[in-house]
Amino acid sequence: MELTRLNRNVRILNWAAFVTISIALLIVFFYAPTERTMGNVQRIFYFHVGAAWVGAVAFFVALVAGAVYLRRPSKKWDTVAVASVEIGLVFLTMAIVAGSVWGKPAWNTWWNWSSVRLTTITIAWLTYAAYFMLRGAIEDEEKRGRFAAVYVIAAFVTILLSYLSIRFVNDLLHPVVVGGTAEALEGQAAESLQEFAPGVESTRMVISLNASVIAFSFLYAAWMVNRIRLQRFMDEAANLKMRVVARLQGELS
Amino acid sequence: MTALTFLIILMQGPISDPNATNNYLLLGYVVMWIIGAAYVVSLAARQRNVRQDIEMLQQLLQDDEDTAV
Repeated sequence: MELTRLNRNVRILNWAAFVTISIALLIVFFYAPTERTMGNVQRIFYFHVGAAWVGAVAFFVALVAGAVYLRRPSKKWDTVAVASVEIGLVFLTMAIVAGSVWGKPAWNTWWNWSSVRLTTITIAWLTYAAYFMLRGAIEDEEKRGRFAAVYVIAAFVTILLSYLSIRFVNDLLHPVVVGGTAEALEGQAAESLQEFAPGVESTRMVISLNASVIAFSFLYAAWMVNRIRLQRFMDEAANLKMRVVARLQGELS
Repeated sequence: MTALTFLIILMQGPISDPNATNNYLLLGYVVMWIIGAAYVVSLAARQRNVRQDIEMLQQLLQDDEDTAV
């Protein structure tokens, strides 16, 4: 992607992210209904789920980029993977912290290790954080790209584990929301997340959740182009450093 | 312990004052956006540093070429 085109995309996406996040905030605070059991604190749910969902998408994008890199090694796919993991980790951190704050009034504790979702998402976070340690430990660019690609593909297992865990293990604290059945919701979360059965209130909740997911998707796209542009500058700086070193070595010999 | 916590949640009736947990709502959103803002600041700082490096390296190469001529 040309730098001028990239600069234009950065500007457009930065504005799009700002506008959609502002709209989502307005919807969450002024349009979404007040949940009857927990009150206003339930409004954390919209951005908590939005951040977690888009974070998982970011890790999937990294997986695809890693797979393409292994098939056709190219610097651009390695850049996409590293940018996507970095941003996914930020979204995951936001979701975990927001969930913990929500957990305090809902469960009367900031954290509960007996919840399978909380444990598996911590494993996912640590696994993706270790991705940067792996990259930092390998000097050779081609070898680093290959190892990182394999790692990022394998690391996605932790996201699948987190997604599937609450569907197979009965997690009373963290109910299934995305992709869950109405029966499961009724059984597990009817009291804590209000009725998700058809109705005006639940429709407004679904609209608010969708607005938040759309806003986070724009934020992800904006941060991706910014991070890719940064990587372009870093590569340019590395090339210039090599040229300077070569000149200096030539002068010395 | 988990079952007991869930039982307590189930036994709760509709909240009398929905604003009672507003401080947690505020804390949740503030902390979330501090993390987001920290990432944006880190991106901007890294970009500024790399651009400065590029300018300095280009200047070094230019000076070297001028000296050679």
